[in-house]
Amino acid sequence: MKTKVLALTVLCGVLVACATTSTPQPKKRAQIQIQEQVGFTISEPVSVSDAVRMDYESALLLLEQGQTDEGIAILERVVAEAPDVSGPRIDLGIAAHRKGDLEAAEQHLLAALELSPDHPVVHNELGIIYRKTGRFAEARRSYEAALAIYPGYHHARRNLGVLCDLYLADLECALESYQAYMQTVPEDAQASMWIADLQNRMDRQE
Amino acid sequence: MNARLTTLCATLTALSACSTNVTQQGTLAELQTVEADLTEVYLEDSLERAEQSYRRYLNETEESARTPEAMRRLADLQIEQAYGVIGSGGVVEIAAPDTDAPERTENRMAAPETARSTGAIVAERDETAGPREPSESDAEFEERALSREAFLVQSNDYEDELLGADGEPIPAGPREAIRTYQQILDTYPDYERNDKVLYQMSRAYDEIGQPDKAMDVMDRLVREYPYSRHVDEVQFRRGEYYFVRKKFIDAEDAYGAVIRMGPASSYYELALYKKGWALYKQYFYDEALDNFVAMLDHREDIGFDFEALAEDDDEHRVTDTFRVISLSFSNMGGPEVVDEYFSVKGRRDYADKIYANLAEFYFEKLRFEDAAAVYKSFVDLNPFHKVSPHFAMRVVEIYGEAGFPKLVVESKKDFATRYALDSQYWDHIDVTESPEVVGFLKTNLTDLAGHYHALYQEEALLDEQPANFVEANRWYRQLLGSFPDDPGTPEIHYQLADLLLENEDFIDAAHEYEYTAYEYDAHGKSSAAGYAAVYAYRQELAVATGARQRDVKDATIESSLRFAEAFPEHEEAPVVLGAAADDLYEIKDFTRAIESGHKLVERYPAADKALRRSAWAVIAHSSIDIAEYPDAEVAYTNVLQLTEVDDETRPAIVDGLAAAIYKQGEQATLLEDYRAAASHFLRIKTLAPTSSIRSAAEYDAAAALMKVQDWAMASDVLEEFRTSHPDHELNADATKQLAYIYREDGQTARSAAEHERIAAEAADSELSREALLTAAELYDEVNVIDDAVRVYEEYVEAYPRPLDIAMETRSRLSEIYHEKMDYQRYFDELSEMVEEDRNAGTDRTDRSRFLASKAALVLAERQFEQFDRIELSQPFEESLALKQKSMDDTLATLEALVAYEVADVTAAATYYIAQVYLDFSASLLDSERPEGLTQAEMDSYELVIEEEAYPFEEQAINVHEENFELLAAGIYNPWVQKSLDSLADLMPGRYAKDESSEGFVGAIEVYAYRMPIAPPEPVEGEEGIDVSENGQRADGEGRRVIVSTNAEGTP
Repeated sequence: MKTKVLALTVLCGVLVACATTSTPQPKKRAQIQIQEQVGFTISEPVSVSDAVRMDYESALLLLEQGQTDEGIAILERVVAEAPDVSGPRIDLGIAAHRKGDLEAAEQHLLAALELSPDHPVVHNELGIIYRKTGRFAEARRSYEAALAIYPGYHHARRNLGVLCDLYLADLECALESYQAYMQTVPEDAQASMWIADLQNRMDRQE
Repeated sequence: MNARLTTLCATLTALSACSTNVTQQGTLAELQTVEADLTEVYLEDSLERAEQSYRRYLNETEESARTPEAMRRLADLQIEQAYGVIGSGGVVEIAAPDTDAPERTENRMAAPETARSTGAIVAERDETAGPREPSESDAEFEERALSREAFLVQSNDYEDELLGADGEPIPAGPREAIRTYQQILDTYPDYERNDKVLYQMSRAYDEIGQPDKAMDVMDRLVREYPYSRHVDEVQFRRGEYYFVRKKFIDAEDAYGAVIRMGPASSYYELALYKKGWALYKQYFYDEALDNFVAMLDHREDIGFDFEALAEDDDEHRVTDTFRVISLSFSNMGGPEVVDEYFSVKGRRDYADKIYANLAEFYFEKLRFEDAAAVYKSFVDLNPFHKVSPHFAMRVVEIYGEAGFPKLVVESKKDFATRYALDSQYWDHIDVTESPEVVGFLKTNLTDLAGHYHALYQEEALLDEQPANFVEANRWYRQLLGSFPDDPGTPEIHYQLADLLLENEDFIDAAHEYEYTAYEYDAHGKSSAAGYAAVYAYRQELAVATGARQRDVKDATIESSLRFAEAFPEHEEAPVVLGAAADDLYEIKDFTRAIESGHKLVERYPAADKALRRSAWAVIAHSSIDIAEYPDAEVAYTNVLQLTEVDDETRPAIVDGLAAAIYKQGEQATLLEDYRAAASHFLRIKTLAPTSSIRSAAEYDAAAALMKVQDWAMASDVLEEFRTSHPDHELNADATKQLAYIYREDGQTARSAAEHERIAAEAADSELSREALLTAAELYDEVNVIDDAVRVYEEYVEAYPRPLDIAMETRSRLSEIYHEKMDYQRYFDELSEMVEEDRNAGTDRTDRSRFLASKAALVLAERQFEQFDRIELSQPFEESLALKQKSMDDTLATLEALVAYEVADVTAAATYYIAQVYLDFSASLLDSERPEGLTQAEMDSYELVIEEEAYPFEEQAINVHEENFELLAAGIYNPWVQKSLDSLADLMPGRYAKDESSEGFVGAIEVYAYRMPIAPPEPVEGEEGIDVSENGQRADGEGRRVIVSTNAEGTP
C-alpha cells in the first residue's frame, strides 16, 4: 500500500520557504494523508483544551439524539473556543443542514473549507447544499473537487451521479459516476438498478 | 584846571621832567651853575609860582640866548593864567600835532556805546508812533555844525582893547604877553622860534577878541614861516576866518592848504569837513560830497568804527557829516542820486550809514516814498548786506507810519520773501546773529498770514477769496516752516487749519489740525485741534463720493480714535469715539469696532445714555459678525437695559439678543456639543421670549436633543413647540420630528400616530401618501394590527397608485387578514390584487404582475383545495360531475397562472395541475363503491375504476415531469422540487435518488476516511496511520477518529 502525504499548502511547498516570503500564511495547516484504495486522513496540528473536547463530544451526542438546537448551541461554543479547528465547523454545517438552515450550513462549511481546503467531506457537504439551492454547477464543482482530492470518496461519486442524472440531465456523467461508485460500494443494489435504468434511457435516446 | 595840567604833564614830557625834579635835589649854590630848566613844567597848584619863577630868572640873570625863550614862556603863562590853556575849548587840540593819529582815534573809540544801525533804531521804534519830529531844522543844524568850528569868531564888535570878546576887561597879563611877544619879535628878529611867538601872539589876539590882528599875525606867519609846525593850524584858522565871513572861496583855499598837507596834519579831517561845507555853501553839492566822503574815507582809513558810532561822538562830526551828505543828496535830486553817486565814485563800506541817514532825512521830511525808496535801493544793491533786512524792516515801518497799508503789506511780503529762512540771504549771514531779523520775519509772516486770512473771511471780497486764500496759505506755511519750534507755532498751525477748513479743503484742514494736535508738545489748542481734525474729516466725508469715500472714512476713523486716545478728557471724546465705533462697524472692521465700543462704555460710564447704548449696539452687532456670540449676547443685554420699554427698536434688539444666543447654539452644534446647543436654543425662550426666532430656536433645540438621542426631552420640546406655536410653519416639520423621535424612542405607535398626523396635515400629497404608509407600517411593526389594517386600507383606498406600492400594501393586508384568519377578507384582498393588476393597463409592472400572480396562486390553491375536498361518493355520477367540474375549473385557473409568466408561479401551477390529475386519479380509486354489487360486478367495477384512474395518474406523472424539465430551462424552485418529490413517489426507481453524506466528522486533530471496499484496518507496523481500538491515533495527536464505513442518507 502506497502512502502519499500531500502538503495542503501546495503552492508554498514548505512552511519555512513560505516564511521567507512576505505572504502571510496561517500558522497551522491541515494535512491530508492519502492511502490509495484505503482512504485518507486529515491531520490538523491544533491544541484544544479538555473542556472544549468534552463540549464537542456532548454536542455530537445531542445531535445524534436528534436534539439539534441544543447540539448546535454547544457546537457554536466549541467553534468559538477553537476557531482554527475544521472538524467542529464541518459538524456545525451538517447540523444546520439537518435543521433545514441551508444558508447557515453553507457559511459554516465555507469557513471549514478555509481551514481545511482539501477536505473531501466539506466539498461533498457543500455540493449537497448547492444542489438543494439550485446551484447545480457549483454543486458539480464541489463534488468534483472532493473527487479530485480523493477519487475513491464514494459519497461524492454517488452524489455527482445523482446530480448529473436528475438535475443536469448529463447521462454520461451520471453513468460514469454510478459505475465508479459501484466500484467502491459494489453491494449497493439500488445503485445497480439506477445504472440499468440509466442505460435503458440512454438506449431509448439513441 | 589841575586835571588839564596833569594831562599835559602826562602827554608831553612830564613823566621824565617831573621825575627829574623830584629826584634831582641839590644846594642853593648849585643854582648859579645850573642852566635854567626851560622845559615847560607846570606845577600842579600854581601858575603863579611858575610865572614868578620866569620873572625872577629874567630879572636876576644876564641877557642871553635863552632870554627870548624865557620871555616867551612868561608871556605864554600870562595868557594861560588869564584864559587857560590856549585853544583848549576849541576844535583844535593844541598838543595834538605831535601825536599819532591812531592814538587819537583810540581816544575817540573810547566813546560810550552808541545805538546800533539805523535798522536797530527802527527796530526799537514804536510802530504806533507817528513821524518823528525833526530834532533840529536844517538851518539849526547848519548853524550848530558850523558854529562849533568858528572858535576864532567870538565876536566882531570888539573895539575896546580893554575888553575881551566876552565883554570882560582884558586882564593885564594878556596885554603884557602880547607886548612881550612883540618885544621878542622886535628885539630878537632871528629868534629861532619866532614862528611860535607869532602863533602864540595870534592866539593871544584871538583870546582877547581881536581876530583881525590875529589874522594879520597869522598871515605874517604863513608868509614868513611856511614850514612852521603851526602852519596847518594857522591855515585852518585862516579858513575859519574866511568861512565866518562867508568868503568861501578864500576859506576853500585855506582849507585846501591844510588838505594838501595830508592826513599827517591833525587838521586834515577838519579841513575836509569844512571845505565840504564851504562848497556846500556855494551849492557845489557834488564837490561838497566828495570832501565829506573823503573825510569819512579818512575816518575809515584810520580805523573808525562806524558801527560804534555814537550820536554824541566828539563834535558830532561824523553824524553831522552824514546829515550834511543827506542834505547834499537831497538837494541834488531824488533818491536815485545816491545810487548814481556811489556808482560813479565807488562803493563805500559805510554806505549803509549814508543811505540810512538819507532815508531818515526823507522820513523826517515826511517824504515816505523817498525814504522807503532809499532803503529799498540799498537792499536791492546789497541783498546780502547785514543791514539790508533792517532797512527792509524800516521800509515796513515807514509805510506803516505813513499810513500806506497796501504798501505795508507789499513790503512785508517782500521782506518775508527776501529773508525767509530758506532764502539765499541766510547763506551769507549767520541766522543766530540776527535775532531781530528773525523776530521781524516771524512778526511779518504772522501779520501777512493773519492779514490775508482776514481778507479771505471778508464777505465783501468774495471775488478775491481764492487769491487771498493762496496768500494766507502761503504765509502760514512759510511761518510754520520757518519757526516750527516757536511757542506760538501751534496756534498759527491751528489758524492755517482753520483757513483750510473755511476754504472747504477738508482733508488738508484735517491734516493740519492733526499736526497741530499731535506733533507739538501739549498746548492750549491741542485737544481742540484734534477735535477739529475729526470735524474736518467728517465734513469731507459728507461730500466724498465713490471709492474715495472709503478712504476718507478710514482717515476719519483713525483721526477719531487718535483723538479719543490723546484727549480722553475732551468733552466730545465720547461722541467721537462712538462715531468711530459706528464707522468701524460700517466698514466691517468689527474687531476694532468692538474695541472702540468697549473703550467708550468703560471710560465714560456716565456718558449720555444714547451714546452708551449705541456703543453697546456696535459691540453687539460686530460680535455677531465675527462670531463672538457670547460677547454679542452680553452686549445686546446691555443695549436692552439702555432701551426704553416702548422704544420702537426694542424688538430688533431682542431679536439681536436672540440671534446671539442662537448662534452660540449653532456653534455648539458644529462642535457636535448638541446638549450645549440645545441649552442655548432653549435659553432664548427665557431671555428673548418675544424674539422672532424663538420658535425656530425651540425647534432646533429639539433637533439638537435628537442628536444626543434625548428623545424624551426632544419630544417635550416639540410638543410644547406645537402647542405654543400652533400656526408656525415648522409645525409640520415638528410633527415629522416627533414621528421620528417616537419611533426612535420605541414609542412606535405614537410615531405612527404622528405619521398619520403628517399625512393628514401635509399639503404635499406625496408626503401625505408616504406618511400614511409609514404610519400603517409602524402600526404593523408594533402589532397594533387594527390601526395597521385601518391605515393600510385607508392607504390603498386613497392611493391606488403607485400600483406597485398599492399592491404591496394589499399583499401585506392579505397577510394580516390571513394571520387573523379573516379568510374572507384575505381572499377578497387577493382577488382585489388580481383585479387591480389585471385592470392596471399601462400602469401594470413586473412587480404588480408578480404580486398578482402570487395572489392568484393562493386563490388557485384555495380552489385546488376545494377540488381536493370533493369526494367521489354515491350517487357516483353526481359527485363525479361535481368533481369533474371542479377539476376543469381548477385546471383553468391554474393554467391561467401561466400567463403571468412568473417562473415560481408557473412551476407552482404546473405542480398543482399535476396534483389535480393525481388527486382525481386517487379520488377515482378511493371513490365510494356502489352497494349491492356482486363480487364479480365489484371486481369488474374495480377494474374499470383502475382503468379510469390510471390515465390521470399517467397525466399527473407527465405534468410533473414537464415541471421537472423546467430545470433544463434553468428554473429550479421548490415547486420543481415538489414535482420531483412526487415523481420519486410515483416512479421511485427513476426519481428516488438521494445524495449521501458522511455525517458528523466528530474529529479534532485527525479525521480518517476508509472506503467501503477498503481492506481490513491495518495492524501495527504497516504503512499509514495507526488507529487504536479506542479511536486514539497511535501518534497520540488525535483523540477520536470516526471511520466512515458506509454512506448515510442526506438530512
